[in-house]
Amino acid sequence: MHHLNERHNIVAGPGIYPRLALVGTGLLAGLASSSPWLPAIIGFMAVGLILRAGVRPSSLAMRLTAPLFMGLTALLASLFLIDGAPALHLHFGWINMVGSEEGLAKGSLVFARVFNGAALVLLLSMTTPVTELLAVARRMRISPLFLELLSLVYRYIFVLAEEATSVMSAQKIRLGYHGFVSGLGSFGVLSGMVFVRSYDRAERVATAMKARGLM
Amino acid sequence: MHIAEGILPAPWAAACFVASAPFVYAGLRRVRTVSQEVPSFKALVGLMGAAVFVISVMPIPVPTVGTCSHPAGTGMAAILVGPLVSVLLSTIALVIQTIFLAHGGITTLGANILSMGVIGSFAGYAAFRGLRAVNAPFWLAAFAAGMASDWATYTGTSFIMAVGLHGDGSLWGLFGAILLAFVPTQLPLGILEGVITAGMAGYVLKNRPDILQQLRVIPPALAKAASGMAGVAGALALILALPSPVAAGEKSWEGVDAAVVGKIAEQHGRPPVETVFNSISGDALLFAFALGGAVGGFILGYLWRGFFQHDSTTSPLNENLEPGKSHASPQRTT
Repeated sequence: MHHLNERHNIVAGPGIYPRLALVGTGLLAGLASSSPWLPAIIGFMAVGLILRAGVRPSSLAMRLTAPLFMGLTALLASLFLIDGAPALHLHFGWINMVGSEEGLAKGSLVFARVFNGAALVLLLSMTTPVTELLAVARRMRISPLFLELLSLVYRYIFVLAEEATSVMSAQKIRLGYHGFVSGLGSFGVLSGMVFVRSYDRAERVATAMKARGLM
Repeated sequence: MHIAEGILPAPWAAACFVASAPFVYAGLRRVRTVSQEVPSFKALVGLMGAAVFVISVMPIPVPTVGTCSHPAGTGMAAILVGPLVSVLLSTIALVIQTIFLAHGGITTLGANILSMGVIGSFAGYAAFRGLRAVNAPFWLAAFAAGMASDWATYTGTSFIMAVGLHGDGSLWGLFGAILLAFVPTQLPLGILEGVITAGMAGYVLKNRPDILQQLRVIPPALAKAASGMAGVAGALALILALPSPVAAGEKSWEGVDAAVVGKIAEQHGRPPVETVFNSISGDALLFAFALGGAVGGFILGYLWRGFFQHDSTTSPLNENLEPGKSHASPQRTT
């Protein structure tokens, strides 16, 4: 994962609380707005700040793809499924699709809100170390057990991802994933191996935590 | 595919938070309770959450749409740690995905927990336990769990989105339309997730069944063996309880000698005659057979080498192979 948030940059400078206030206000304003323009403008401002902080555009685009795809699905569903005055006619052979003005208005609002939310969340995560976020969450009286598990999961995602990648490379060298069916079989074995390794590692982690008086 | 930020209206998003919160709380309680008895359980849940997260973000190809997608992983988690802890793990995974990958949203977190965590976990767990209860094979139950959790998650997602988006239109019409939109990717992806879950479970069962026993996914081997022994004992008891054919009548169950060999011999003019040594019968005869077998076996075993093994010291083949060397074994000479 891109650890840009650990660098010093203009967004990270003011501290975590102004950043949280900025993101929270932006989210609420986007959700409260009945026009798509306000969330869209806030979203573009957030994207500008992220890029200004030094994040590569390709990295940002990759992370925005999934939510924007979801937003686009919602936009198209609203456009063609909500009744109202016709705004758009599409003909694909024998298929005749009519988009309504009401659907377009609602769909574009949803799409703008999706963009706004995704950009603001990325602004927060890409400019804030995870430890700071966890400290704030603890001060907000979120369950310590939940935060402990969250930090454990977050910590070991990278370790296990590295192991999964090396197992996958070893499988490929041994002719794994050479076809669709073989790929499924290899993936099943990979999942099993990752699980077994995580289990064994959990026992070692528990022993280490016990030795340090953390349990 | 999680519900992104801003898709749901605020009241409905809040209602989803309220609906999913008790399940997350119950998951936390379960972890806390088990951790008091088994202190390493927290580490196990954390590592397992990371494993399920890593597996769930690995891309798998979906042939119908020519793209890659990723499994949900809730079926896997539900099998391994139960549905309540699986809800908690899904919540943690969703928080990480929302904050660091912008998958899902902060306001739609409750809706995503409800669809992926609660509905997915319980559907997968019910499919697994239901099939195991009727003695379905382990791999089949795991396959059904993976598939059911995936399909249930997307059905739940479609319904939650339809409630949030239908406005004045038909709720069920929009629900059907969204569900239909998911079909090209999710129908095959559910089957693939089932195959992967079965592959993973099969791998662990084959190589580390102790883990599945400790997590109580499968009953302990001892219990299994005991149940097998109980089955055998029951079968024996049943056989012994049946009325003895000997007791029913001397002629009712003839031996193969009398029934087949004797009849054929009679047909060909050579009827059986009384044996010369017919002085003992019954238990004494059986004892004589057993004693004869034991003595014969002892003699045969003691003299086995002498009867059947070739003496290598005199073999011309060995002499040809290693001329000038003695092949006599010290053990053999003594």
